[in-house]
Amino acid sequence: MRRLPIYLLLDTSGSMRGEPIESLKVGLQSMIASLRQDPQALDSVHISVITFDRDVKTLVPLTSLEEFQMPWLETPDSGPTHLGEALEELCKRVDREIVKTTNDVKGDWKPMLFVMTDGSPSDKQKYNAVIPEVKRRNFATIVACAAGSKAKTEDLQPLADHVVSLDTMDSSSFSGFFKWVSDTVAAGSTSMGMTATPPLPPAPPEVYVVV
Amino acid sequence: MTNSETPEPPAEEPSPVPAPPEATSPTPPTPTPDEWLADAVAPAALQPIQVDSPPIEPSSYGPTRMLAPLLDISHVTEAAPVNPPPAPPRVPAPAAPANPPVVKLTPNTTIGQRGHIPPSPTKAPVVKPPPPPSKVELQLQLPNGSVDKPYDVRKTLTLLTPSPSIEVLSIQRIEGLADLGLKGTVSGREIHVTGTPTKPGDHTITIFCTLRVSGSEVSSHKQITLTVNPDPRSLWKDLEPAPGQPFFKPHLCSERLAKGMVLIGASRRGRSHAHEGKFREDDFRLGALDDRGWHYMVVADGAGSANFSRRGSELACETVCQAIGPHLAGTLGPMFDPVVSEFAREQGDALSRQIRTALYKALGGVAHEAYRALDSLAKSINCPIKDLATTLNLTICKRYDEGWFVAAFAVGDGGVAVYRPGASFPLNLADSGEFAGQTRFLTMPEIMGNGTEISNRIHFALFSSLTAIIGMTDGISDPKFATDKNFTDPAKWDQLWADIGARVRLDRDNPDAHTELLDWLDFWSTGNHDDRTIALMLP
Repeated sequence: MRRLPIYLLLDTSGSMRGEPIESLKVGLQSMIASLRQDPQALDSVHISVITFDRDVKTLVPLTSLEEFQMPWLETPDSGPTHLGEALEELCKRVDREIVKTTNDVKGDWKPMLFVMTDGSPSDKQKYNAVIPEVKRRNFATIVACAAGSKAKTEDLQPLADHVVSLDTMDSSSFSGFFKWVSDTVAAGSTSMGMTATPPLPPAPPEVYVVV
Repeated sequence: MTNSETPEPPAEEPSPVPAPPEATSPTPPTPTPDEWLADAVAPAALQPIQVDSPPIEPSSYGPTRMLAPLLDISHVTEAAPVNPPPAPPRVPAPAAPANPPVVKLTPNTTIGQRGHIPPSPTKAPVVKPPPPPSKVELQLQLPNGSVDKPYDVRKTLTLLTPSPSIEVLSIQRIEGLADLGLKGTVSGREIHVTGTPTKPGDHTITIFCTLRVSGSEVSSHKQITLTVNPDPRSLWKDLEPAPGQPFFKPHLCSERLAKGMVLIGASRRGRSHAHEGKFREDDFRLGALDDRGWHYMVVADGAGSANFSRRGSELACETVCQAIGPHLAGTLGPMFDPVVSEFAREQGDALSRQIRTALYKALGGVAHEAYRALDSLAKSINCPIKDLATTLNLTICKRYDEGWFVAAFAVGDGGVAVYRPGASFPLNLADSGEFAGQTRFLTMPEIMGNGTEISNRIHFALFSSLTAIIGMTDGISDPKFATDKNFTDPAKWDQLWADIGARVRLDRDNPDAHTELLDWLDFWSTGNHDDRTIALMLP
């Protein structure tokens, strides 16, 4: 069985406190539920959840969709958004978790990365330095989501193949985004045969694709 | 880079077959004297492609680290019944603090992962004894189940944050399991959940328990979520492609051809394509050149995300059928036969090179015609040639007095091998990249425009006897062999032969062998739902 690894990097900084984080949970939960309805995803998708605020935490190491359980997402009262550090942690985990094809081993599908933030990286220097490292990890696709009015899409452009933005951080926005993520993942789990980037399904109305 | 992402240069006018590389090119596997007539075999002669990646360290994260934190918690107060449940996440009160006021953190408070034991409101916090708690968080997490898979889990109800003044005494009962086809047995603080879940979804289970809180017994309960995965088999859809699309292809195809050797082949649309209402992208053809004694089979696998790869694989196969007659007549005709006979008597570099040159012209020429046909189709329908991306696996075989002469040209994954019990002999190299699904295609100019690349993909051998020659797309090689190493393992080929034999009477005289083969292709293998195509030559 070949795994399709999905990495979710989620912003849990103080500004996410309250409705945004609750909406994020609802969105994530519904994404998982919808992926479970996809037989191809159920056979191949593995998910990891990494959160970042002042601290970076791997709440769920790469886990099969079958075994995946919702992590508890918490936000501190305030504090910085260490996206750069989160990406460093991501690179470490990818190096450890992703299986490449060798003579003896069947490799994974190329991993996919989804990053959601409602601000901009506080550790800008680290962030800029780690981007080339992330690119070297051969992700099939990197999607960054700028949620809410304070998120800066221009900060995410150098990192992601696709940047999308959400006007608001309510549950319908997040649900729309995660629905879109799950469509992208489902498309990836069936048609990642040869392309570097799986085709992105059309974005739902809540999600604006930044070009 | 060698994998599929290599952007294909703009389609140029395909050059004629490049000149065969000179003797400097890597020598392909050729049976050594001991091997070609004896039943010994040396698959090791086929060196797998070196994959440039370091070995992967086993993950250091055991199952215990895989547990995600709890989803929900229940609250117990000493005096009052269970607290009202937290407001649904969708409608947080704007002004409400994130935590109930009772939970005030002080520097001395021990904080669990998310459990807060507030200090006593009346006493200044002293080290001991700890303040009487007013809230308890219970913890019990059940791993996910799956429909129709037996479930047998024992878990103990504990406190999220240990407290000297609170103790979980026992579980009274569990509600919510019976509806799912599960049974919960209680023993002290432990529940034992058994059975086979029948209902997929996220289910709420309620555990009723007794606690001792500061000396007095308190009833409490906790709601947990038990997730039951659906059976993936029940989720597959079988959809027809949208009408009006170009390049229609039937979902199933099988054929049997008895001309000297018996050739059988079958191809079946994969579940993943059926689920999305896409066409089968694999294809195959069988054939014989009656007057010359040559038999051939070709299998092709259209690339998963190339728009018209179903036509690419089909056109490649069709072109092979048209081109193979003239090409084999030219270079593998009467002049070739004495070379094989001589080779049978004494293998030598010179003879081997002579055979390789002939095969290069014949098989390389046929493959190149297929490449050109794809290129002109791409131009005529105004799409890049990679939209027609397909693998190609062409095998030819002829019976000589000295034995069976078998040769193959292969680009892409899947594979072909001569099967003999305990002594299979692969006739192609693995053509895969470091990630799953990466391979090379007939449509890549950097392969079909490079003599060394073409030559390295041609292999031949002479066998005194053989049971079958088997060619397949990766829809079969992935589930049946998984790794390149297994593909060279004779035991794996014996398993495959037995596996097919259980459903297909692999006998020259079986007129239904091809339809039985088509049925066999429907086998179940978790995570492997690609199109499947297999072709066999039976002596």
